[in-house]
Amino acid sequence: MSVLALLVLLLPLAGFLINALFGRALARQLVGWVGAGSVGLAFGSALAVLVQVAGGQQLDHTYFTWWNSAGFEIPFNLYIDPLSTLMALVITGVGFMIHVYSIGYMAGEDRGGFSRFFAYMNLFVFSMLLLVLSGNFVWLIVGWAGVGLSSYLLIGFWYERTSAVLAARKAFVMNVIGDVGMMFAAFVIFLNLKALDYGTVLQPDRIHQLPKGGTVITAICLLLLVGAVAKSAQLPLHTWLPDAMEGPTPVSALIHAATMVTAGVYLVARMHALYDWAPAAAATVAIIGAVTALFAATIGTAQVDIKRILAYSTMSQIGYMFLAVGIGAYTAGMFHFMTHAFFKALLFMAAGNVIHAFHEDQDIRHMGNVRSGLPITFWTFLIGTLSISGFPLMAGFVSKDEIIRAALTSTGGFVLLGVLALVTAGLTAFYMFRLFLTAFGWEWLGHDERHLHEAPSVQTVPIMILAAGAVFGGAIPVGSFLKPVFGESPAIGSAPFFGVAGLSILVAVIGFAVAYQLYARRPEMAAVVRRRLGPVHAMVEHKYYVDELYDLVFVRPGFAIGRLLRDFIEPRVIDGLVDGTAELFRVEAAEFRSLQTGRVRNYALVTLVGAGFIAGYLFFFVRPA
Amino acid sequence: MSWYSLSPDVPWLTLILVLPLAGALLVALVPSVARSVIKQLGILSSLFTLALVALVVGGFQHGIGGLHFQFEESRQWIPAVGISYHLGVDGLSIFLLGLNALLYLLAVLAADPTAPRFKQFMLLLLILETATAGVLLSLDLILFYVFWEAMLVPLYFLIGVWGEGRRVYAAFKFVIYTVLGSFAMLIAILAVAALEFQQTNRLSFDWVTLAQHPAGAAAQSLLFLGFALAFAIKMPIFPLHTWLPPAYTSAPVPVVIVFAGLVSKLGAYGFIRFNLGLFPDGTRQWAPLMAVLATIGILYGAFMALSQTDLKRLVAYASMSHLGFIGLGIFSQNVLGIEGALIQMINHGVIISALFLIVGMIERRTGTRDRTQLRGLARSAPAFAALFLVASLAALGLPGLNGFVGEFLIVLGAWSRFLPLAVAAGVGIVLAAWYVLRMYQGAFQETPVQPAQFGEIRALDIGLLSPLLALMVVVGVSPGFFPAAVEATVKALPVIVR
Repeated sequence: MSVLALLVLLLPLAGFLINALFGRALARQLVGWVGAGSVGLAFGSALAVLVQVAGGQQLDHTYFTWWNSAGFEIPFNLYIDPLSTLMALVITGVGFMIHVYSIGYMAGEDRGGFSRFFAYMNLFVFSMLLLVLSGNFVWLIVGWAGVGLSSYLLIGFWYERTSAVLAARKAFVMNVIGDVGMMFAAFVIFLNLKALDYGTVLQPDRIHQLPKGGTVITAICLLLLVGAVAKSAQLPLHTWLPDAMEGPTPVSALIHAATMVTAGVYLVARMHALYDWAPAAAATVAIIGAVTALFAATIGTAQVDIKRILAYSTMSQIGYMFLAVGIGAYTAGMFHFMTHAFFKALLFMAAGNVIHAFHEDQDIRHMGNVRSGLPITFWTFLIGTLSISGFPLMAGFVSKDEIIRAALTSTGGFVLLGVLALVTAGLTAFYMFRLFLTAFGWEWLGHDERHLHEAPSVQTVPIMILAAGAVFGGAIPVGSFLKPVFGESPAIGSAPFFGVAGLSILVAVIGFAVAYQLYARRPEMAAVVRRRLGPVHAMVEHKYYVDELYDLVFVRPGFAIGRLLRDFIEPRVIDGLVDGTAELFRVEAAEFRSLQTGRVRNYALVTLVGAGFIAGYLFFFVRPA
Repeated sequence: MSWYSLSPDVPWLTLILVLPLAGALLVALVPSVARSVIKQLGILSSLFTLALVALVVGGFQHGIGGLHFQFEESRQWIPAVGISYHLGVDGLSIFLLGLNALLYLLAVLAADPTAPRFKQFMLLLLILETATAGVLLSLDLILFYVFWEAMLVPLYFLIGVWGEGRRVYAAFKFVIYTVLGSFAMLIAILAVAALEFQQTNRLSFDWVTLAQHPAGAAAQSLLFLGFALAFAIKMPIFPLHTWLPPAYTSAPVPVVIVFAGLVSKLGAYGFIRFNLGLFPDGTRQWAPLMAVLATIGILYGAFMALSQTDLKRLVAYASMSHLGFIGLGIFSQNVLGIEGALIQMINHGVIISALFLIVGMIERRTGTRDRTQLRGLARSAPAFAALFLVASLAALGLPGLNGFVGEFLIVLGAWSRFLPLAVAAGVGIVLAAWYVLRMYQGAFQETPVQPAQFGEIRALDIGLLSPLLALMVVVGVSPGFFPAAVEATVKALPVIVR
């Protein structure tokens, strides 16, 4: 299996290298098939790994040693267990769909752009696989930063647009904050647990040598959380994700919905042995998740850009996953990760078809009448909307319900978080149907109908496959597959199951009904409501002014410090001191001015002569005994 | 272990010192109009030197450290006062020696044969190579001092004559600063020898002898300062850095490659070899201050880089910020911090010379290196953009490339000794992402200002950059060879042993 696991990782790397080095010279079709094919083959290899893992095998194989000195021994090892296998399957499986879709979606790019795009996408898949398959913290960080890099490259894919360039840099810098947090976490782990490979560090025996809930373990978990929050766009490091929608739509599907942003969830689940030992840190994860879920959902109700709405919905859904892993419902969190990958990739790709059809206009108010022009896109988007909104028995309903149920039936203050999650579920149904009814509704609002064309089958078939996942994905037995990793999940009676399911159906129906009233039946009401809400609506529409706050608190002061140093401290204070000293010498040494010829060779001569005198003195007068 | 063993009868290290000088001598004999011959001579001699150094690096035995050097040569020079011609390499110097040879080859290749007085330029560059190699190989303090001072004259002229802008001012400022530090070091060297004489009644300037008889704590404290002034200026350590921006900015590209890529590291090397090696008590006393200054340098350089518009100045301040990391690693006084500093010296030399080369290429093509005048070069030069991006990512410490390796180890080393400084260094890493991407994007992204005549990168330029880029990837992915070679030396440093 060690070769197979390596193959999963190296195939996308090979795809990246081929397209990055030779892509410009290759035929377009070849570029597309190298890009998509390498990910498809990786998916095949991952399936082969799955067969062995399902048979009970695990793997922790070291390929070479990265660094070894003074007890700091870092291998390059891959760690294959049900958790990493599940992640790898979703990354390569959904990733393959998105790559195939991209062949159609990016067809308008010139040859250089086309090959560059696939190179970046493959680099992303490789980095993400490295992140989940790595068996130690250093290579985890390498993968972690690699997905940050590919995300930067893809957000800034259209690098001639200033807005894309700025969005890309913002994403990268915020991700680096997370990387540094991860590095610090690794330091504390190494200094206290004396190793950095999972096989050693994640042993409960070793962790339990630290006091439970003590400073060290809590610090480790909180520092890891910095990385998780940055990558998964949770509060307070979330502001890059909506801006990241500057990238091409398949990017949003792959990176900013299906895979990369869930890395934080994976991290907490992977480190569950640590979080189980640091209850305060785990609670922090849960609180951040629940609050982000609600926070992002409220913003989602007031946006008009189709991709931004989906971006906020991603933030919100990942909030659910954080809530799940924070309260120890790891299986539920990973389950929701999988179903979310299906329906969110589907939603983004379907949105991409619509955006293409409307000539790159992303404003939902300018769209309409999608059903007759793009029937496949219309119906699949509806399926995705139903799934995310919690339509009974669809994949999104099943996995989300598990999280809400776990929160509501847990002990302690988490019940409150469960209530937040329920409210969010209602809001989700509301904003998703607001989007659907406005953009896809029967009502025609703007453009000429005849321009609307369904996307080619290379773009619709992947969406349909994902739609099947969004409907039936809830039946995949993720729970029993992950049992070796997380152990038995606490048994929950049937009463709460139907109780909670009933509640979440109720809030979803309310959300749908309000959206239907405001955006389908009586659109004039929406304007009234907006006016009534006044400043609240403005605040939500402006994303609670967090961007403005960060600009004021971090960005501007950063440049101001730079300017202060450049224009005052360096020339006046430091160099002023230097020049002042020089001046002092110049005045004092007026009498010796004739010696100051300003010629360095004279000075060098003097130096040499002086050194000669000293050497001579030593030579003639200081005799060794 | 090593790959093979070299005959101990051959004076390998002397050959390494002599080869560039021989090249210089040949250049001196060629009439100055034969520019291409001069360049070829330069290339040949630095190529042979590199081959020789590669041979020595390959034959370097792992697991030997402490007072044991390899390829050692020792001859009496002025026996009456205990001055000897003593050369040797160990884990501290072996890879720097390799960097030395590589960067001079690139510098010679990048040199413009149409420049005025090209013959003298080449002559000085080759002399400088011997001087910097000598600094790394000397195990006698006087010999070291001679090479140390010998660097100054070629550098002065290379900047003052072939530089640009306020070149004379820049060169002069550099020389004044350096001479100040050198005098302090000379006094300290003489004092070390005098103290040795007191202890043993024998005069010696030999590093190995001196390392066996450390001075008293009070004396070490002063001696540390004497050496530290010279090395802190050369690195530079904040606040002794103000010679750096004008000097780097004025220096022509081939010179700035060796200046920023190599000479600055000699200061860091000096700290480890002499301050940590000879004055462990003094080091322990002054390390907190030095670490604080180094960390200030990280942040100061980063903020300065953030506020620059001239790409060359920006890279100069980035270099200062990176050297702050190296200083922090050295003064964390543990194996990981010092190993991190050592590998970061190599990495920094590779990264910063690539960046200066690239800035030079941009300037040569567009006539400017002002960030605000440049834009959108990626459209007409995508391959160039890709190469620049890789170098930029290495500079900002992207995990998987070489810059990360050193930063990780350095901050880990600092974490266990100076926690707040390690956290501040983490802020420096975030700032690096910010200023480096501003630099890259400023030059290569957004809509081009004018439909650029900016051509794609030339094959020669790819050739210059490719060994550096290859090192960035290889060292980033698999740096395991490095600790294997240097660990024994680092572990034997007196600051770590006790």
